[in-house]
Amino acid sequence: MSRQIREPLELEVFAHAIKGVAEEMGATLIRTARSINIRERLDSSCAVFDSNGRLLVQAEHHPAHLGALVSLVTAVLIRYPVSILREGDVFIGNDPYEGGGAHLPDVTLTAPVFADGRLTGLVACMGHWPDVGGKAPGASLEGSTEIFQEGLRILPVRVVDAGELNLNLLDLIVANTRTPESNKLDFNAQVACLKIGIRELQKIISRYSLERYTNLCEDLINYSEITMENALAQIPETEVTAEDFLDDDGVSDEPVKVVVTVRIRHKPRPHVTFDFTGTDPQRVGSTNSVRAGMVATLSYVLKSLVEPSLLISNGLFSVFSIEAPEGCVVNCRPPAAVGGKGPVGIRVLEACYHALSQLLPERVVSGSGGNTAYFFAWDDPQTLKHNIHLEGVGGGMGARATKDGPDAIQVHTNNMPNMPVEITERAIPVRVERFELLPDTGGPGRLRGGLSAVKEYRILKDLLFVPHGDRHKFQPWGLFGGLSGAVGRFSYIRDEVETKLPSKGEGIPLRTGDLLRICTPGGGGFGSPADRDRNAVLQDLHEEKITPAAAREIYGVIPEGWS
Amino acid sequence: MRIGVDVGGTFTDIVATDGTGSVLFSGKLLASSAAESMLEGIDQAMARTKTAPGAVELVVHATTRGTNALLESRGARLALICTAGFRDVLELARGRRPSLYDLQFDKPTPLIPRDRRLEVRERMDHTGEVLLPLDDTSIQEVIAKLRSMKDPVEAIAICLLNSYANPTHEQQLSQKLKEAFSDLLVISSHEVLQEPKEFERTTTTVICAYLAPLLTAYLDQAVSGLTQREMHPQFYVMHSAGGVVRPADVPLRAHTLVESGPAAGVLAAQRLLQTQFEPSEAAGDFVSFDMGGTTAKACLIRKGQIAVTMDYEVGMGAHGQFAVKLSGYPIRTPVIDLVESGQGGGSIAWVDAVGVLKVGPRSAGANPGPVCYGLGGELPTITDCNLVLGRLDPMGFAGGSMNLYPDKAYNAIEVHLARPLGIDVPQAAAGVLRVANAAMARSIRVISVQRGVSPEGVALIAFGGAGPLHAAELAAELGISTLIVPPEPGVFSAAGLLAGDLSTDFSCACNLRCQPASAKAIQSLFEGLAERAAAWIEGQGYAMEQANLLFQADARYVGQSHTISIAAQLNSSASELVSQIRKQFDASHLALYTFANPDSEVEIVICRVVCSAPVVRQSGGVRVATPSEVTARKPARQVYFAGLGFVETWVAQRTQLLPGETITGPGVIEEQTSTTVVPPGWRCLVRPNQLLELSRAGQGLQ
Repeated sequence: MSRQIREPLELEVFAHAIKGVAEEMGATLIRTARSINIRERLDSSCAVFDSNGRLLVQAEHHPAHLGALVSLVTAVLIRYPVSILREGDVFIGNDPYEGGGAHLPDVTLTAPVFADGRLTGLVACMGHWPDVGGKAPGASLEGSTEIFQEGLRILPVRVVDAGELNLNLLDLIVANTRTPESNKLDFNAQVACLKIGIRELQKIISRYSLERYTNLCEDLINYSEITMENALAQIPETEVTAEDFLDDDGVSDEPVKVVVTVRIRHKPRPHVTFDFTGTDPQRVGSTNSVRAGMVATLSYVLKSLVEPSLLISNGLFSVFSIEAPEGCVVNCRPPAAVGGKGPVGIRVLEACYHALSQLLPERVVSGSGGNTAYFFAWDDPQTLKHNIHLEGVGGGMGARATKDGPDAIQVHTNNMPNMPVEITERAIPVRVERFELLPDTGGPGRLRGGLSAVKEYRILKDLLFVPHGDRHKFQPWGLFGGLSGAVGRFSYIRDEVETKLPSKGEGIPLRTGDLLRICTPGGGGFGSPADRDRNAVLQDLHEEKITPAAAREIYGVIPEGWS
Repeated sequence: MRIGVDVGGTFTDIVATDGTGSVLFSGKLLASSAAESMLEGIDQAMARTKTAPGAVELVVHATTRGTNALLESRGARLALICTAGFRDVLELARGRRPSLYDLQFDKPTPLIPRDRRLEVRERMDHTGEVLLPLDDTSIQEVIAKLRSMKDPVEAIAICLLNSYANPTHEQQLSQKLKEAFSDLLVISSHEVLQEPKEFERTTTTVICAYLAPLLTAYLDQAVSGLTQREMHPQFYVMHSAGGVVRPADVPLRAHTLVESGPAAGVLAAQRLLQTQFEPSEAAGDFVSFDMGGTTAKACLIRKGQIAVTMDYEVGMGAHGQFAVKLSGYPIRTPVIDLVESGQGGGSIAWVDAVGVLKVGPRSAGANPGPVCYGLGGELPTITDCNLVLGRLDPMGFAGGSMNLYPDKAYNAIEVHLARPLGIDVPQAAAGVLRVANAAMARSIRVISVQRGVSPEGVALIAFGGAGPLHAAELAAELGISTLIVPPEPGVFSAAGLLAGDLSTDFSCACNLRCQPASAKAIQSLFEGLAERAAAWIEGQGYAMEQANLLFQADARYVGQSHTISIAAQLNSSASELVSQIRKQFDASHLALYTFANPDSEVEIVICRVVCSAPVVRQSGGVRVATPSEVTARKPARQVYFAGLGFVETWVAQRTQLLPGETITGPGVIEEQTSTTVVPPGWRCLVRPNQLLELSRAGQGLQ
């Protein structure tokens, strides 16, 4: 296998050009889509592939989407031999098992790119549609026991045939969703985005010869592979293990265990194996992920630990392998529900950081309390429309070897912005009464974990609250003597009585006048709190990020003027 | 005489013209501190042109002081007053990380720490209805807290929830605080921005209050310096949208001075198009390309209109659009939409562990600077590569004021690039320029495509010290076939200062469907804005006939979140107004995003008026003197071009070119502040006023 870089002088030029294609696609999609998911929350991704379906680049939109993009392109090339692909074709899919999505709302489109009549690559884009049918509004991410309850499965199929839209198919798809109009417009935007990608990729190919272009694609892939191998060669050959838990699967109350053993070898080539033996069998509830989801998660782990600016390409995939028992929560079989794959992925990557903390203490991050999301769903009596609104609030991020964990922020594969209160109040029948940081929620340590946030909503009209959080039972862990961050909590107050809600599960009806309280989890600390800089403790106290009791009892700092 | 002074990070650029726009003086000075730099620049212009103080009618200034104060956290010590339950708006931000994969990232430090963010009990809803009246006890508590602070605050910012819909509580609170602290600046969010999104409105208000005391003091100092010199010119500062304001207007607009310097360059390019091109030529699409020592900045100028954005942010930790949006501090004000990339003359080239050539993001800056400066720099930079390829004259750099050392540059490239890559020095140096050009091309391509403009169809206007060195090859990378190089590219931005109109904008939030039923409501919002604009214009001492009002509706399809600014024609009936906005919205959406949804409803969320008036009688734009006869060219030298190697290349002095001359590449044109490269296959037409038009064979503007 030839793995040297053939064009070391030109590769960076080519990389800029290819990244530019994915970025232009992303700019088009984000600005033209109809759903707030894609437009405002940027829940979408774009990628470029070579003619063999190998990833060349994914624009840096959403790391978790990698699985959907790669699996659709792979599935299309298997189902549709190159000989029957035609210029102007567009394929659609969202099915975790057959290709196109990690969960059903991730609707992925791909189109072949031709130059001089030859297949020279594919472009793909994924957009999270607000609804794809299923038993409940809000993308049915929670409370399902079979994928059939989660919405419409779209197997990888040709939806545009040589430029001719299969309107019957599209109508059939959107008719099975609660937001047909919006989904159709998102579809249009996704097609427009692919067209831009095709046009730009063709320009690049025409500037190089086809042969040179092919060599540069090879270089691009080899580059990521060599970079990763070099990094792995720096880590001793060893085996480390960690486990972590999800609160439950949204149906039963039982915790979900994830175990990962990370095995590093140097020969014949540096390689890392992620072995999930010991992980719980797939669950009745939706906290399950297909294997493709793990490709995205583990790519994130490697890139974030080794080289955050590394271009994600197929070369990254070849340095690691996944050993996951068939039918476990990280390699589920149909018809397992997969709506809760997001929390599974986060738990896996945190377990990986935990396992690798002894080997790479300077690079890892303590357990984090991020990734709190939830839906509001209500019917509008005037328009008779179902309204679904997704909201996310950051939790505390874990502390790092040299830095405190940032407060109330989205972490890891998630980077969804929260919704401004003033926009929320225009869009949803709620009033936000409080949104602030919670003191003492960051895990104490030499470096402190990030604080969590509390957000309170007064319900102004009966609606459904669909929780989609975690770390309500298991605290985000600290490292090297750092203490854990606080757990999160969902609850509502009705007639002055506070009722705790599960972290995930089916929609819960809330009534006009209820107060819904969202507390995100905090981040874990790093190093012993006894070693924390005294001034940092005083600063935290001054800013009311910790209480005097915590300063005294945990940090042993008794400030003047405080009793 | 009119003087434009642009005080940047390293240099002060000065341009002085007479009343007709003819350049009397232009130059560069090393910038020193405070208002001194501006005054030193003016002193130099006065001395060189032997002008009497009384003859200076206009001074326009741009400064990086606001930007630097933000970067270095040197603004005012502030308190922020918020609605109870929401004191962390500034710190919670939008909950995004600036970098997806970087686990060691830093969240920007809030400009106001938690203990100086105080709460009052009150609440408005989004329609402007009072849910909880402003509680006087909590105001008294705030006042008591402010009084008891060990280090007293220097200014106060107020941002209450939903105040965009009803500012009454902010007004009442502001009044009470002004009474309690008569010497403090108190700025309320509704005075700065009347739009929803509390984080964006808070950061805009806070940045305004953070910078206002410092900028006001700075401008006072500048004005008194002018007075001491017995000058009494009209004195203005440029804001980020490319207009100018009087110092007296700065306190509520301090946040708009953050990007004033870069705005001047784009404005200069726009004015160049207006004054030196036929209307038919100027109606095309242009990209201003400004490459200096540390970064390159580009902006789209479409049919004579400069692209303006409301999505500007500071503190994202990365440049321009490659940064994660909403991870820094948004400043919601019209900002000329520049895309910045990290390539400048000082960018360091290196070979990475895998053996691949990379350029940047590290920069040698001005100190030690490129290896060839001989000031201790050891790592090869873009400037070093330009030098060893023969594109720069080692003896003639910066008008001959600075000698360059080609041998040092050559050695550094050999050791750090050529040997590791196994190629020769010129190949390595040419590779560096190609990588830098590819990175810059990527940012220009995206800003064009985002707006539905194909980069192939634009012409570049290249300036900045390094712009004309790279422009032709950059253009080739983008498929662009025409580029313009204005005279004295290194100080071109300063000339743009003299092109700015007095301008400001007023806006209000609404939530109205673009349909006949709401036509009257939409019209009356615009009429209200027109009244505010008229009051402002008259307050500036202008008659309304001299002013230009531009009405805009920020509109979107119902359900979308991004808006498009649509020009609204107010001189028609209300129903015509809405149908015109609607039609134009569909057309703009189609042009920008490849599709329109004529069946979907359109809503208007922001109405805005941009009002402007010329600061002085319009002149024909900046002019430079033209030589009367051809003088001898410098001897030809060997210059390296990719694919050809070193070829004999003519070298000309810019000031000695005659209008109408056409010269074919390969060639190099030198002047005081820059060098223009004309590669093989390109030709250069010398237009009047020493404007260079470079085009690829067979192409051109005409």
